Amino acid sequence: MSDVASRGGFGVTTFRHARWTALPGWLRQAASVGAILCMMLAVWSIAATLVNPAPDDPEPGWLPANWWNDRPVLPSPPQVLIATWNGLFGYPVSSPRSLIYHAVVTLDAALTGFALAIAVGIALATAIVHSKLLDRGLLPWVIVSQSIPVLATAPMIVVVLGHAGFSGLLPKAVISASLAFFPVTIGMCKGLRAAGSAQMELLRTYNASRAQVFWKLRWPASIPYLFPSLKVALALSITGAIVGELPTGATAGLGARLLIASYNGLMLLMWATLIVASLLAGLSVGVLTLIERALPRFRASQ
Amino acid sequence: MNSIAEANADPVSAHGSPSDQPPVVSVDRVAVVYKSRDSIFRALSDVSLHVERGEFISLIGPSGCGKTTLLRLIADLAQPTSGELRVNGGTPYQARCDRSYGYVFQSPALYPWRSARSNVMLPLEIIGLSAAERRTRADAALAAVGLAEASGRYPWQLSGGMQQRVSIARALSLQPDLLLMDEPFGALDEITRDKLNLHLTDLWRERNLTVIFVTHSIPEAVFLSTRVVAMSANPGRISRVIECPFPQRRTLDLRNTRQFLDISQDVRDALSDAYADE
Repeated sequence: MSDVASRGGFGVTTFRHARWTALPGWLRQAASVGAILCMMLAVWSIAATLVNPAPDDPEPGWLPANWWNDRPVLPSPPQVLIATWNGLFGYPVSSPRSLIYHAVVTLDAALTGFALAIAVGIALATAIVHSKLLDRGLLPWVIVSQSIPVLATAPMIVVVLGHAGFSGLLPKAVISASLAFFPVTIGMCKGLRAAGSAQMELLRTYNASRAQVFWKLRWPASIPYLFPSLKVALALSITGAIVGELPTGATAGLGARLLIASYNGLMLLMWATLIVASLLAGLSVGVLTLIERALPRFRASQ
Repeated sequence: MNSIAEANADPVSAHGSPSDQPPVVSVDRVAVVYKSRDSIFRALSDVSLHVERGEFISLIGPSGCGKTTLLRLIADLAQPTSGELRVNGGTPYQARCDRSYGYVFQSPALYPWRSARSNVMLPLEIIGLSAAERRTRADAALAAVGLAEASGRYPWQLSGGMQQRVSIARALSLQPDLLLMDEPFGALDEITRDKLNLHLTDLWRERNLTVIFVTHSIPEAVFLSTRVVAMSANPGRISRVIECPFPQRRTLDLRNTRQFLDISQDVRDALSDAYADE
């Protein structure tokens, strides 16, 4: 039931072989991820070869000439790799051409939004599990809120908060939180109800108060559900912060960078920015996983 | 019904305690009926039972006979449709608010994030004892079930029998006079069950507890009890109450005596009548 936390990585081994299973777990995982990466690269390479026109003065080399088109339709893998590398390390971190600079701006808004999302998500879930009325009345709205595209709500949030005198970080954080609170709410609704009926009735025999039931049982029982939802929420809060940068007229941040690339048809910049955005999400979720592992863990016995 | 007459006629305590005290538990003409749209389920019908201080009562019967329901009514975890229940002279609700009973569930229901000691301290935290006193009382309760050594271990590091002993220690930590136990040893193997039965009968004698014990096992019921209440299903009711007039101090040898075998046979007959009703 609640051994969610104790199981990491891939639950299913798709093929079994004596030598394969003899390898250490991390190596097998790396090999599996690497194999998928190679397949994606192959598809990408073929597509890049088919789609791009050849440049006027092809450079000599063993790679296809149209992989080095200056204004590619679909940039080739080495082009994107070089553009990403340059974006990350080709400029000082304080330069507005550095993607690290923009990533930090986005991360700032995303983490503020993430913190907001945790607070709102846990508060909503706590209210929902304690009130039948809210369970019936509020949960549907929480779900509906996610069916509205952020791109539509983002400008409204910017206008309303701007009218109230807030600009810059806060509107972006709110947009980011509006996406990220959802998995926290849903995960915690399940987590706060995860305690077994005997565990629950036990507290009833002690005539425990609602607050005691929450802090002694519901909250600790929900922790295995908290971290998986936090991981989803963190990734969403980064997406939200990037989307939030589009209508705010931001000049800094990965979203602002994407907008510039899109206006000017700079496919390479767009790809490089997207790759940095996914690296950012991957790294932050990785840090969260490390925090989760550092916390004391327990196994459910029933 | 003759069953009620029999149950009422024998409010004798094996301890011979003075009978001017109110019974620890009294159940009068209690019924529990669950109605759904197209069916009526009579979980308990016209059940009366009086339990005196120091008695050990076993409820035994086929599934659906309402033995767990009866226990839950006494614990105020469920409400009767009609009839009256009294615990220590008051309502079951008052008894629950006074924390005057300890309840042991079928599953140990330990909190996996708490060590054995910390699980036993849980009720003491709820009633707001100081940290020092919690620890002293939890250690004493764990020692009483023979688990002083294991106090720092977590539930998943304990065997099923040890887990259930922790849960008994937890029920004892509030020092109640009344222990309600719902098939606590049902999931354990025979040898472990024997050991825990011995342990339980010692605790009962030494602490002068009143115990109401739900079980499926005839030898267990006869070995532990002062009275065995045989129940039958559909509707759930008491079919016979059988006395077990053994001395308070009981050892496993008791089970080889003529008297033990005769009483076990009585219980078996009462139950096969109950099963025949199905």
